[in-house]
Amino acid sequence: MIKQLQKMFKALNSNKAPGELAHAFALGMLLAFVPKGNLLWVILFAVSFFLRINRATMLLSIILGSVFVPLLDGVFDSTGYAVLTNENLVPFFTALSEIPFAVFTRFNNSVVMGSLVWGIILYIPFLAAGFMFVKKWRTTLAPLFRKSRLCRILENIPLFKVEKDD
Amino acid sequence: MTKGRLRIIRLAICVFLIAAAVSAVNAGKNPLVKKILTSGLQNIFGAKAEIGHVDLRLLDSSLVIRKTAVADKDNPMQNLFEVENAVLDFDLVNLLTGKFVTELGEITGITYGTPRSTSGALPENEKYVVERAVKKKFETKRDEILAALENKAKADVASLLGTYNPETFMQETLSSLKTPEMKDEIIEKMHQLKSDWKTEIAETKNEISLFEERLEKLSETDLDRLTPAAVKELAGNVKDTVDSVKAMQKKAETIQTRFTEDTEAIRKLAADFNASMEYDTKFVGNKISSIKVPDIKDGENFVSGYLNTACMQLLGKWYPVFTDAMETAREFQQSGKSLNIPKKKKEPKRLVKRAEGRTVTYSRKLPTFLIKELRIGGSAPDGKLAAEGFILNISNNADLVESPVSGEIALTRGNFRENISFAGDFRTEPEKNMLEVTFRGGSYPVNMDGSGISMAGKGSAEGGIYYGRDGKIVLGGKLDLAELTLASAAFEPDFIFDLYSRVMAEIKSAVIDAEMEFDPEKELDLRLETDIDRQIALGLRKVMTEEINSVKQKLETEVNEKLAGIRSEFEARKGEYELLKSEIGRNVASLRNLETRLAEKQKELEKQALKSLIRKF
Repeated sequence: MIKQLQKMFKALNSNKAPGELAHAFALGMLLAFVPKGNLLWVILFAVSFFLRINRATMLLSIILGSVFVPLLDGVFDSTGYAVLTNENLVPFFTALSEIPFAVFTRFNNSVVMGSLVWGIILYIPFLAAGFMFVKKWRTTLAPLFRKSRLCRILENIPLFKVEKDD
Repeated sequence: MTKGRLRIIRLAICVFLIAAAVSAVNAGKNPLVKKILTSGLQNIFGAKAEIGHVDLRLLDSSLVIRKTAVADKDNPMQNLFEVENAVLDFDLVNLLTGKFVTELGEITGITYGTPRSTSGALPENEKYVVERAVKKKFETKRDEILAALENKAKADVASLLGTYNPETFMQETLSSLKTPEMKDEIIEKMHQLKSDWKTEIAETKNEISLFEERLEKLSETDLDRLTPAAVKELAGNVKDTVDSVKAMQKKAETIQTRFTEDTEAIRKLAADFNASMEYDTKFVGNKISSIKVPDIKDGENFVSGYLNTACMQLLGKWYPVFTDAMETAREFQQSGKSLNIPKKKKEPKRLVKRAEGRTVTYSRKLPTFLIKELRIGGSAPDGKLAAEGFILNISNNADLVESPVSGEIALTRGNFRENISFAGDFRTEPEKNMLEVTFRGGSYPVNMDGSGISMAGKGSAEGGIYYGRDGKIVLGGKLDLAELTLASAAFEPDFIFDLYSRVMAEIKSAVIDAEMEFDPEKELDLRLETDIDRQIALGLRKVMTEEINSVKQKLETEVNEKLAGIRSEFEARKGEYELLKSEIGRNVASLRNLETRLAEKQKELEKQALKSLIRKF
């Protein structure tokens, strides 16, 4: 995790495209929302390997999101159930249920469906937030952080020694 | 140059790896399925199973199985059945969730009882030992009942008909007649009297002859030459002759009296004889009228007792097959239902626990094994068997299917056609019996050879097997027989056996209705109804009426002939005695006549003596 943090800070402080970090954050949040242990999560996670994003940021987002996501399960459950039982969508889901392997996605679970819906809905806001954060970090927050006492403490710990960009 | 968001090379490598994995699975799936199927068949049938070829096509969702052979556990060197080709179009979606669901299955080329080159026996396990113990219990009970039924059947027929033997009856009746014995006594007496009287008659005749000779001598006396001494002698002779005449007259009186007495005795004997004749005639009449046709009721047990044994053997043969099938079905159901019991999973220790959520299903919940329709068709290469039919809702959890497994199978075995329909309700709360099987077939050659009765003909059969919720098993069958030939093993008395055989020969059709009930907690019970008993009762009443009328007539004729013979003999003897009467009468008359003749002779002598005296003087 420390290594991932290092990588994330390295990417934040480098000139890497903000989109890589912002998408990683948004996708990480989506993966955090969707419960693990089903094919949907595996597919979404696998997709990340084929995308040019910062996986460290994504993994940290997943961890970060997973901490508070259970608090939203009630919302996910009611949303997912409403979607799954929506009369207009039932034929679609029925057809989906007849596709081999689709059942392993657990799309018919209210929490899975609700979290997916909310993950997709919030993807753009998270992406925008990611962009804004990277921009803010690089312009304002990074110099402040470097001057901070925390940074100095961390710099003295070998594990947290951040390699400075050239 | 700005790179795109997608990593193409990684994606290509991944696709390649997935394709390689799919190819590997595709290559290894068939041997795996073959192993699973072989193991499953061996568990179900308890004997070795062999599968020639398996082709599982995941993309086509089809399973093709060729050349399946399952050994017979009771006869390991023979196959229970062989299936040339089986095709199952399964549902891949359900299969991926561990459910084998098939809309349609087809099994063709079924053969049974084919020989095996190697033994099909599996190593014994505890389950088979228990099964064998239950079967043994059934067989022991069946054998006990068979022995009891056989004895009862023999006793039933013997007790119903055994007392009517016309030969014995005739002999008993004839030996009870009093007249023949009396006849001998009377004839003996009459013979004695006749002999006595013949002697008497001869003696009397002789005496009369002697007297006549003496009288002639007196007549020939020359009175002219009579000397005083001769006169004296003549006077003495005359006196003796007169005395003799008197004695003979007395004798005549005696003979008359004795003969009258003997005649009276004869008359009494004749009266006794007539009374005896009358008594015997009346006795025979009563005896004849006492012969009644046995009260043979329709409900009497003639053949059913014997058929019980045959039916018990027949139904008993099918009981183990049925129990095996039921045990297998129940285990199969149990295996399916046990899958529904949620297993307690070890929850991994997580810092963050997500809510379970609700699962929305868009199709009915299905069992892990379901064949919605299985079509069976095919015929053996030798033409011995052809089967066609269907089975619906074969599943290992009938509760989820919400309907019983049911089906109809039409079997053609040579010239015989059979239809089997069945419904097995293995739901937790079934609507009817747990299992009901009905069977219908026709044109069977029937050859039953129970102990005591043999039966041959053609029959159409209807049968049923019912397995109740309480574990009670009822196997029933109705056999409609035509072109029937019934025969019975010989038994005593011959007369009854002849009648019985005649009646049986007249029966050309019959219906046998049998039902066997086995409750593992209680007893094995067999109920059998047949119209053969009623037909035999009817036939026996008819032939016994004819036979008894014939016996009555024969007895009457024989007794009358016998009595007439006795009477004739008696009358002949009496006639002979009557002849003596006239002879005796003549002798008595002759004796009585002697005095007159003597008086005449005396007068003649006196006249001659007077003439002679006159001439002398």
